[in-house]
Amino acid sequence: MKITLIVFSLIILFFSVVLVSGPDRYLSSLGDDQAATNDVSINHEHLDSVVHVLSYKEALVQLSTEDSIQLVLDLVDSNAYLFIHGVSVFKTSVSTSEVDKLLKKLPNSMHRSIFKNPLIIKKVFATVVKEPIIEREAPKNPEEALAVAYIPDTLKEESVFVYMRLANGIKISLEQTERSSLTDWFDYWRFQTVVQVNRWSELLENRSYKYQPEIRVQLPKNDLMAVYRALPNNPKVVVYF
Amino acid sequence: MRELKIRQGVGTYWLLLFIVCLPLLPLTLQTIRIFAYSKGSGEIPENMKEVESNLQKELAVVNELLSKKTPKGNYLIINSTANEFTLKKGQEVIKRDKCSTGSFVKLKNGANQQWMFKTPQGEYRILAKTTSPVWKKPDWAFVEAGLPVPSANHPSRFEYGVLGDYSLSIGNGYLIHGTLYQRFLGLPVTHGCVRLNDENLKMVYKSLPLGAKVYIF
Repeated sequence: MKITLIVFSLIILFFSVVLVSGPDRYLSSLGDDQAATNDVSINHEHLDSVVHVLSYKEALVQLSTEDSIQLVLDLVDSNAYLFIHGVSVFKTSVSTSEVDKLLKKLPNSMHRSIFKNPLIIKKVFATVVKEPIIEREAPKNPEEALAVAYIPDTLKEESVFVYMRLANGIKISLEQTERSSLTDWFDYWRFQTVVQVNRWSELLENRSYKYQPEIRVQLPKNDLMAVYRALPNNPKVVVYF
Repeated sequence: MRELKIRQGVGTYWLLLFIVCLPLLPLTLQTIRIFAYSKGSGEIPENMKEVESNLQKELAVVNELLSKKTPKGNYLIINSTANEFTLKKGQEVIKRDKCSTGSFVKLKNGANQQWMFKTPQGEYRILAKTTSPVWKKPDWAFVEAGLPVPSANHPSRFEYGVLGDYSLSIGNGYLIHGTLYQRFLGLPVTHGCVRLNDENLKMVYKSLPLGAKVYIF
C-alpha cells in the first residue's frame, strides 16, 4: 500500500514539474523568434491598452497586403471580421470569448512582437465541410434532367465548430453560440474529443510538454459557417484582446 | 474494537480524498505559476509619458494608413454562404438583400468532362456593363439539360431575357445578373454567377461604375 502511494506521489510530482515548467518553456520558444523586436520600455500595465491597440492596427496593415480573405477577432469590442485587402467585408458579434490567462499576462513587448503580425494558421479542422460539393452525373435526356433538377435542401442543419492551431502554438476554438438541439451537443462533444486527441497526439509527436494557450470564441452559427467557408487554404488571423 | 473500525473508516476516507484530489495538484500549480507572471506594474516611471506619446504617434500613422484602404466610392460585397449582398459606399450600407450564388454542384459528363458551379471568392472589379444582355449558353447548359451540345455559334446557344435587364461582368465569364427564378433568391442555385431581383439589379447597375470593386466571400 505504502509503495503504491509513493509511486503515485512520484507520478504526480513528475507531472507537477512538467506542467509548471510548461508556460516557461512556451514563452522561451516564442522568445527565440521575437527577441530581436522586444522593446522592454513598454513593459508596464499602464501602457497595455495603447500597446494592444497599436499591435492590432499594425497587424491589420500587414493583413491588407494579403490577396486572400483573412479573419480578424476583435475581442475588445466583441466582433469578428473578414478582411480582403484591408477592407472589412463581413462583421459579426462575438457572444462570448475566453482568452488564455498566460496570453493576458504577456509583457507588452512580447505581446507586441507576437500580435503585431497576422498569425499563421497551421492546422484547421471543423465539423462542417469547407465546400458542400454535390456530385451529379449528367442526365441522358431532357426527361431525366427534369426529374433530377437540383433544389437545395434548406432543412439540412449542421453544427459548426472550428479548431485552429497557429504556428506559434496558440489554439483557437470557434464555436457556434446555439446549442439548442441534441445534435448540437453531440457534435460539440465529438469536436471536443477530436481537439483532445489532437492535443495528445501533438504532445506525443513533440515528446516534450509545452503549454498550449487557448482562445475560445462563440459566434452565431450561420456567421461562423460563412467565416469558415470564406477562409482560404492558408489562412491567417489577427487577434485583439 | 468499534473505535478502531471508525478510525479505519476515517483513514480510508482521507486516503480516497487524497487520491482523488492529488491529480489536480499539477494543474493547480501550473495556474499558480501563470498568475505569478508580472506584466510590470507599480509606480509609473518618469519616461513613461514620452514612451506613451511615441506609441500614440505610431498609432495615428497606422490609423491613417488603414483609413485609406476602404474604397471611397460604391462597392459590392457578396456573402456566398448566406446568399446575401451588401451595396456600400465607404462605411455606409446602401442596400442589403438576398441574392443567389453558386450551388457547389459538380456536374460530371462521363470520365473526361466536369464542371464545378461555384462562385469564386476574392476581390474583383466591374469589367463590363450591359443592358438587355443575351445569354450565350455554354456547353454545360446543354449537358445539364440532357441535350446534345450544338456548335459554337448555333442559334440555340442564344437566349434572350433570361438574365434580366442588366448584367455586370466581373471576369472569367462570371456575371451579376437578374433571374426568372425569383423564388430561389437566397439559395445557392446558380452556376457561379450572382443573381439579384430586378429592383436590386437596377440599383446595383446604376450604383457601380466600371472598375468598382466587388468582394466575394
